[in-house]
Amino acid sequence: MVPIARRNLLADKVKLLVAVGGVTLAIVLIIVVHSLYQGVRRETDSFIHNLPGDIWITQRGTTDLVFSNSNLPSTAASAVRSVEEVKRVYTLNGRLMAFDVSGREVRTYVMALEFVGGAGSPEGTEFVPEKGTILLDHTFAKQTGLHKGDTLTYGDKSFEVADVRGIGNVLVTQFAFIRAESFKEIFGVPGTVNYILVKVDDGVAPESILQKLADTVPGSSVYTTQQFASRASEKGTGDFLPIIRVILAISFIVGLTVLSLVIYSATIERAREYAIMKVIGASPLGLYRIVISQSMFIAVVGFGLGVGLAFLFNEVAGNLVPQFITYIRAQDIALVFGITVLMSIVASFMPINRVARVEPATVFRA
Amino acid sequence: MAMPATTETGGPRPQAEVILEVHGLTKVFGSGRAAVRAVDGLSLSVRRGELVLVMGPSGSGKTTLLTLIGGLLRPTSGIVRVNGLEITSLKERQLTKFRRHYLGFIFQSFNLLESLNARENVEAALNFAGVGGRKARKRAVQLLSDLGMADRLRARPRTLSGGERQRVSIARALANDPQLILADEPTANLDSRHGHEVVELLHDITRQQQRTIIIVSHDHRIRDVADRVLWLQDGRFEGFDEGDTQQSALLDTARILYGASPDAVPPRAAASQPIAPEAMAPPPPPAPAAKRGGWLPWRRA
Repeated sequence: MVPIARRNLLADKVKLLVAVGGVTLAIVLIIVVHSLYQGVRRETDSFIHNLPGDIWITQRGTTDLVFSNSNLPSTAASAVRSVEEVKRVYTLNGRLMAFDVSGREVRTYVMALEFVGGAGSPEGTEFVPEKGTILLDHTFAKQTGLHKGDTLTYGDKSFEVADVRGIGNVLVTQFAFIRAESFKEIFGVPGTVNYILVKVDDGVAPESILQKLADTVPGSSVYTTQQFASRASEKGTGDFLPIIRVILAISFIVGLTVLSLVIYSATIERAREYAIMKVIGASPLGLYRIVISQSMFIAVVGFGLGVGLAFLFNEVAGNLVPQFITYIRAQDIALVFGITVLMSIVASFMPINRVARVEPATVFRA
Repeated sequence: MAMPATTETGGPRPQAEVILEVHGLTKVFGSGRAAVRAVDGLSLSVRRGELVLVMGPSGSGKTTLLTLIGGLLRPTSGIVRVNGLEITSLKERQLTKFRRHYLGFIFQSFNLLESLNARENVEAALNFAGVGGRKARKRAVQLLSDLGMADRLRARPRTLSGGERQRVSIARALANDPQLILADEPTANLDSRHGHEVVELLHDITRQQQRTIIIVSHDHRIRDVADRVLWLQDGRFEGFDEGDTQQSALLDTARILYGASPDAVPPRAAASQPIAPEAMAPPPPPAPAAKRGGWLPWRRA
């Protein structure tokens, strides 16, 4: 079959370039914004999953790690330990802290994990540094220019950077770890802990003892790690959702407008040719297919370029702005492809209407 | 009309079948005082292999007649029957199919698709008729080669001369093997040489391929090869009168424009008196002119 749609598009390369450029821009915007959203969700989720424990106990009403507080009585940890199905118990404390680095103030969310007791070897030792040292997230280190061996001070306390690695980056802050003793010395809130993490016995389903633990710690909320991770990542990104939706809508409108204008003007310019095709036997459906093919061709090329550029943009932006964390999932690409197809179909409506109204008899005008 | 028909070789042949019948065809544009009867009760009958030339001044209804026969406009009243099929009663979708398989169109301004090359322009017409792939390509190449365009298959319309464009247009019109070809001023945008080539070509198509061609034109050279010349005035057929001032003036203009000899042979079927309705019936198919060798004269040369 003669590729009339493609030939028509390639006949005017400038217009084609504008159309593809518009769609590409829209696709880049959609993917980058969406990948930023997914990146933050993923980081929050993976940070919580990396810590030991199958169950999280928080103060009732606590939504997440960063945007809300949780205070539980420290005696609750001992009470939890006495529950039959509980294997090991940990406490987790944390708060946003401002350190001094050579006269410069840097902020990070500092946490301290402590093994309270239980059977077997405790997990999560990689989050427990030596006394007087601190573990930094690589994004924070890159952002602040800190390296292993550098020193951060908080009042009269000094912390040497013991290691720099991927710990947790939730866009607005990054996580760091110090020893529990150091944390208590600095903040000295006796008798309280922020979170209790519980490892259950082998063969016990975490969901099965949630109520039992809630009864054990009055005024608490008890979640499986999966539940708390979902809750925290949703809270961490939930505030961005309306903004993200607006940007996605704007991107869609930009892409749709450019595509519609180009396809419409290309159809108007070739109205006579559509009339000729009607005269020589093209069916209306065949002509609509040409219009949709043109729209689809631009959209798909724009999509391909957009996806490639979005990956490139994320890579470059991630290097320039360390906290710019993105994550592109296969299903998101598929979703954007769906949006692209929708864009091309909507953009074809007006031109198809125009083609339908073209009078074949007009071809006899010289 | 009972005269014996002749074959190409000049011998008798059976009466050719009627391809086109038009009865009481009327087309009125507008309404009330502004109403214009572009075509006014026309009747016509054309046989297979006939070349009919319709002449007349601008605004006489020539092109409207062509679009009505081609099913591109709906008549206000009257009937058009092509190969026995009454097209005036067909629905839009059926008309599209009808045009695809029964009609070929040749235009004054060629009307090629600018983004496609010569071969693709012909191939597209085949594609619309459901012929695709190699079969369509092969036929397009064959048609264009037969018209002397073998070395211009990949050329875009804008790079072709007027004559070449019209040959592509003719190849496209022939692509789906139509029985009836409608040509609207096919030589108007061509110089004398190319115009002459196209006239020869159209003549050969009627004679050798037994296709029927209706040409609307001011080009008096077509009278040389036409089996009948019909004069249309104010939407009605009238007698063709060489002495008529307006008709003569038109022919003189055509002679000047196309640079043809003023002593051109008068049309075989031209009447000098007003035409009675029965005269619109087709004459027997004539023998080809001796001076015309047939299909593709330039290739033989």
